[in-house]
Amino acid sequence: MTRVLIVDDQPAFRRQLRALLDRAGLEVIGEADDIAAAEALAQSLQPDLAIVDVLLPGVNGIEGTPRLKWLAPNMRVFLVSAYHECLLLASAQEAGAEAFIPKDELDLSVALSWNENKEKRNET
Amino acid sequence: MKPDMKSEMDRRERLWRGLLILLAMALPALAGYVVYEQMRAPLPSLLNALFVALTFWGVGVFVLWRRFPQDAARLFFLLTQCIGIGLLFFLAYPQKSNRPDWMTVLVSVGFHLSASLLFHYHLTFPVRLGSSRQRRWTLVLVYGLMLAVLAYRLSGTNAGLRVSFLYNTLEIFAAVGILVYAYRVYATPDDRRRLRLIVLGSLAAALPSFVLYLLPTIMGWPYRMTDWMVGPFIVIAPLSYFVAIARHNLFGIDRFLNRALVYAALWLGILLLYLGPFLLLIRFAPGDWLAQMMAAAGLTLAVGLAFERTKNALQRLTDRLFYGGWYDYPAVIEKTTRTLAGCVEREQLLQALTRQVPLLMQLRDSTLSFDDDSAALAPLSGAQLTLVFQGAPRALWNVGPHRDGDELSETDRRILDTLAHQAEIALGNVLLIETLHAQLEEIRASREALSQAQRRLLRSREDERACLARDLHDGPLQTLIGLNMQLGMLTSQSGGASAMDEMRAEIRGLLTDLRGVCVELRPPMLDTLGLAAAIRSLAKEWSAQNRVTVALDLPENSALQSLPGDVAVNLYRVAQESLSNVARHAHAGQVTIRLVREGNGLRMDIEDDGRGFAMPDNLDALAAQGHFGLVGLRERVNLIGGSLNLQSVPGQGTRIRVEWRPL
Repeated sequence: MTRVLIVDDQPAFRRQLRALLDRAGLEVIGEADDIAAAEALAQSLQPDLAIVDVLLPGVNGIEGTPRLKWLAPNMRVFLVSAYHECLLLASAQEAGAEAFIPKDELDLSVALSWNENKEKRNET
Repeated sequence: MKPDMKSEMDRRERLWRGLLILLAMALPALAGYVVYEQMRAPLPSLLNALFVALTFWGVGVFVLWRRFPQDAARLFFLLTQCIGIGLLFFLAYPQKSNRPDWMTVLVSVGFHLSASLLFHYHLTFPVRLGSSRQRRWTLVLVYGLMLAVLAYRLSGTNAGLRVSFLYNTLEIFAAVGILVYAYRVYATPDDRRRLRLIVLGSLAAALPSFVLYLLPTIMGWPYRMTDWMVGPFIVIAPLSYFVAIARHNLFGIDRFLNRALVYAALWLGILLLYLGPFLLLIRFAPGDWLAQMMAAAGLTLAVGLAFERTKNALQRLTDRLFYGGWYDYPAVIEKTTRTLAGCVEREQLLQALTRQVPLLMQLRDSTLSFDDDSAALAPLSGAQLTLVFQGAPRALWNVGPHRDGDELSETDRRILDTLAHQAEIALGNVLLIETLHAQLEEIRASREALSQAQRRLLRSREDERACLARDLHDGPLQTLIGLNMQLGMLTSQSGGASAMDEMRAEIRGLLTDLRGVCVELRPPMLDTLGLAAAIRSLAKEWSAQNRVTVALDLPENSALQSLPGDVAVNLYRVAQESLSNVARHAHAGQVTIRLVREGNGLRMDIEDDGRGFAMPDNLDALAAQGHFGLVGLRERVNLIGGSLNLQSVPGQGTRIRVEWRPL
């Protein structure tokens, strides 16, 4: 089962995302509302996947991505944002994130694909 | 005046001039002759004669030179030349037996003429006494008697000599008497000052000569001082004239005489200093060259060391002698007026009235108090003048008496009144300038306050927009996203109900609109990715909307990391506003946005190749034409402490350059 860390400063979004991920069969093992908290969790829990919001207070998600990756090298990072922005996509890739997903595109099929991705990767 | 009369006057004038110049050359020529003749005569009498005669000559010539047209000056010149010639021979040849006859005649003529001229002179100067008819008859009598007495004298008898001395003495006493009379009768402070020295000098010169020389000669007494000793006493008279003339600036030669006197005295001092020791050396050690050279070197050293100090001391002494109690009226007015005209500060006015004026007018002291000074100054014994500005007394000028203790004369008061009037104007200037300064300061302060308020307003507006954007982002946007996500779960489960898909599309449309509002309020890029990314995003969107290519030349994000938040926001807004201006007016094919780091600062250029416009002289004219956008840009840039430069040529596009530098 894919173990997921959610990093977002919006409790409502975390709750909804957790529900979506549960439904898709992913296990949410931690939630953080900023990069500093996420760093501690990433180091101790070593999740498989981190869903990180771009617009975070303090260190933003794009800056935070390499820091989290450094602490948990096997963890994939998916950046999410309320804003569609190809610039963000480029920056996310530059920062080392595996994907950039606008928040309004999140639905069960996307979440399932993450799980499948994981399984596919495990299989290979 | 008829032309022929005028030419007649000219001829007379030329004749006078020629005669006077000839006469002025006579005395030096005669002196030269005497020096040539008297090489082996006793030195004291020769030097004495030359000194006395040339003093008279010099005074006369200079007075004539400076004030040629004045009758008094010509008379004075004639007087001095006659005395000079008489004294030259008289003193250079103490023994009458050594003297050629023609010289004796010249001496007699000189003395008689000069006594009569002295009388004539004082009859008309400094005060004209009597009517012109009375004066004419008196002069005819005096000169006529003089001729008679001269003739008797030249007959060579002892009685002739006595009578001539008697007549001369009488004339001199009459002249001195006239002077004393004029002094006593016309005794305004100015005249007193003018006459005091002449009277004193004349008395000092006449009394010893009379008691020790003239009286014994007339009475035939045996105790009579030697002829050459008369010289020093007689010299007192012309010197007192010098000083009196100079003090009153009668002939405008005070400065010249002043310096001449100082240097003559110095020269004489140096001469004596050298001469004395050398005479001793030559007498006691005639062949000792070494001693002579050492003495010369020592003396030169002494002179060199003492020269400056001695000169200054002499100058002070001469100044006191010349200017004690007297001053140069036109110069006072001229200099003070000039200084007052340049006054723009109180301190300058204070300096002019309390330093310059007392110095120029030889006043003991002077104070100036402004109406807002708390400490009122005690009035001085001289004069008190009130300086009025706009109908209200604004300053009080106290003036003390003269340095020599004399009360202020009528002339002094008139001059002080004139100066006070000038000072009032200057005070007016000073006060107006002070008011202007104060107002300028107020304007500057209120402008500063206004600009701070604008800055606060702008910042608070940006803050509010950011806050609003955050609220929208955290509230409705999140809610919609959540809703969308939940619908997403449902659709997957229910296997693609079309109503659900429609709802989702609806929500997505709403999200897009809301996001647009948020971006407009506060571009999220600016806070996450920085200015360069925000501009890049802005340019991309704008380019897509307007179908105009935007070329970007932006630095790395990290290069702009240290940029203060409000600077980044305002530069972003400038870019945003400029782009929207280009879209509205320029009809451009391409826009270039360039951000260049310059030291600690930053330069942003936004250029388009559109149609441009004719640049007005300043941006305010643009506002008048309705282009408020550019004016608003400038205000924004001013508020972050930057500068905005706009260049445009019709047909050749527009360039906006913003330069910002941290304080």
